[in-house]
Amino acid sequence: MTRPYLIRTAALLTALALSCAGGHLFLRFTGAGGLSALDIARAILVVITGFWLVWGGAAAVMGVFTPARAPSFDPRRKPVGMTAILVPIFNENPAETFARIAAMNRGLVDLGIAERFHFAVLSDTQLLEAATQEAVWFERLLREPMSAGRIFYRRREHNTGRKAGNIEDFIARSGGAYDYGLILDADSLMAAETIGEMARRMDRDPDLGLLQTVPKVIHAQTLFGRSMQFAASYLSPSFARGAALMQGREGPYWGHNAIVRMKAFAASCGLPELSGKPPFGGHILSHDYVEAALLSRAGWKVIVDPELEGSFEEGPENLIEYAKRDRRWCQGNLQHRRLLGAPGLKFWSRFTFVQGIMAYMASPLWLLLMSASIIAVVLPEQRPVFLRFSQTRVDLWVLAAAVAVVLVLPKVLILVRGALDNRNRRFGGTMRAAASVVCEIVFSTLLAPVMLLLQTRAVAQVLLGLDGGWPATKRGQNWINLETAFRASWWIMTLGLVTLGSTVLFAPSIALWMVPAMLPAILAPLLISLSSMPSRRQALPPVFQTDLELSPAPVMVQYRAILASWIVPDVAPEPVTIKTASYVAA
Amino acid sequence: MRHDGNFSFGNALPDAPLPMPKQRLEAKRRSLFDALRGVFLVFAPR
Repeated sequence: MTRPYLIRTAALLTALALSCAGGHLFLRFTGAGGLSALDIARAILVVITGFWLVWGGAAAVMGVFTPARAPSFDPRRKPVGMTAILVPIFNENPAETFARIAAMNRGLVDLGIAERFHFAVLSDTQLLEAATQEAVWFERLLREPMSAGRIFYRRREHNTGRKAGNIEDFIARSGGAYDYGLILDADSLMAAETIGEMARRMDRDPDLGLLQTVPKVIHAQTLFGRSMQFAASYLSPSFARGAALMQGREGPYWGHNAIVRMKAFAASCGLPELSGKPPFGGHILSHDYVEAALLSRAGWKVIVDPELEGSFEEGPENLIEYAKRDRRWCQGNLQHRRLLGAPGLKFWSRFTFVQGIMAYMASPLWLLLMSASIIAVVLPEQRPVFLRFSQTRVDLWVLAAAVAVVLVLPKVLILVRGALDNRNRRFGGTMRAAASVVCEIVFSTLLAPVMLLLQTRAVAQVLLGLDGGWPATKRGQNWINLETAFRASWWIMTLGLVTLGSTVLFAPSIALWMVPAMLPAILAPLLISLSSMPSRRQALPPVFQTDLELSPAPVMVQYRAILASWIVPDVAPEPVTIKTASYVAA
Repeated sequence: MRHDGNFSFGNALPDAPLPMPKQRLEAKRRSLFDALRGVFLVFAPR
């Protein structure tokens, strides 16, 4: 197992060397006439923010040069262990959630391996009306093949510990009956072949504590949702393949679409409440990272396999829903600072916590860098700390080009590899894939300033001690009208206007450089609203086409067919009183 | 706790508790006084 350590070290040193080189270039740009304290502070910010940019890019580049290997297995071979497929839900649309379960169940029945898999719907729904609907739709689910004694439902009246507490409650009551638990989200969908293979891998490797798949985003309809869906389908596998090389047996857990060894999870992952009040104390919000770290601490293998296909989820369809989810994740990740010194954790687990924290702290640091750069132009007469640093001044274009290369190069390499190994054909051909990659770069660049300000606000709220709670994700909520978008982003617009206005007034020499960052902020309401519009055309839009849009997986087709048959008014079940013993209100 | 194939699954979730002990995650914080005391204890006569 020395290989992951070598790869990690090489990647860390590369990221460090390149970010330091970036800092040096920056000093040569600013320090030709002498270095001030502000110049040095800005260079430090360039090195810190640059490190995480290069780090992300390094994973992708490694992924591009790692050969893909399609796993081969016999899908009809029954696993030895019993698996509970756990579907925690919280105020979700029950028809859609249960239709996904029905689709997965039919797949398992068709393969002849269903008897080794049970489904447990673990409801934390607090709204009584929604809970009644769950009971109604559960009755419909029980009409599915082989459902008796295999598909269960229980609801907690109090959602103590949120999702982690929900899973823990199941394990504490029923975990002893199962060897493995396949943990899903309400919007997760998995091919039966993949589910079976995951259980067989757990059978084969008794040291494997957790196996994580890389879920692909599906069913997106808006420009925002489809760009994320394209990135998840086309770009993410390379990032995940590279990351998996570095992680080795200390891989990630993303909270869903992963299988755990029940006894390992029970023995290692009982999460305590952290001392103090939220946002830093109380229940651990981003529990998945912590559970992965705890399994590693106990000596279990935690593996991510990007080559396991047939793992799907749905994503936010607009920037506002994305920002809500990001706010939760931000609070959860920043809470991990309390765990950096937790006893016995592996170095890599601690590094993963830092990485998660920096994923959010990078935004305020970028903002600080921009603000410091404006100050440096407004107040040029600063006392130099070093009088003669460099004689040759580096042009600003060189710096901008260096940042662009770090951001764009991995995506270009993924495109080139796709052309060479024919993967692009699954995305509409190389020309279409290239157009989609260019559009993804343009779209993500346009959204970057808005995201940066939203993340900075989230970090500030958490640091000020404001608890964001854990609001349920509104799925399928697409279009945001201009008024709602304005109400959500007026402060971004105002900040953009004030910053650009002040730059034009007080530092006109850099005003042109500020336009690409500030214009999207000024147009934030328009961007949010326009990108949330679902396509009106029946045909697929020309860009952001994914393999699963062009050729949906059988389980996706099955799900849509089941849902369509269920929501026909004549077939939809009437509200009934549930009497079946599979329904338990805990 | 391993399922041995003999567990009877009825119509309700099985009654098969699996304990999930709480893990220790927070390192005990040492005050400056504790740290100083620790240093001087090394030299204390036994």
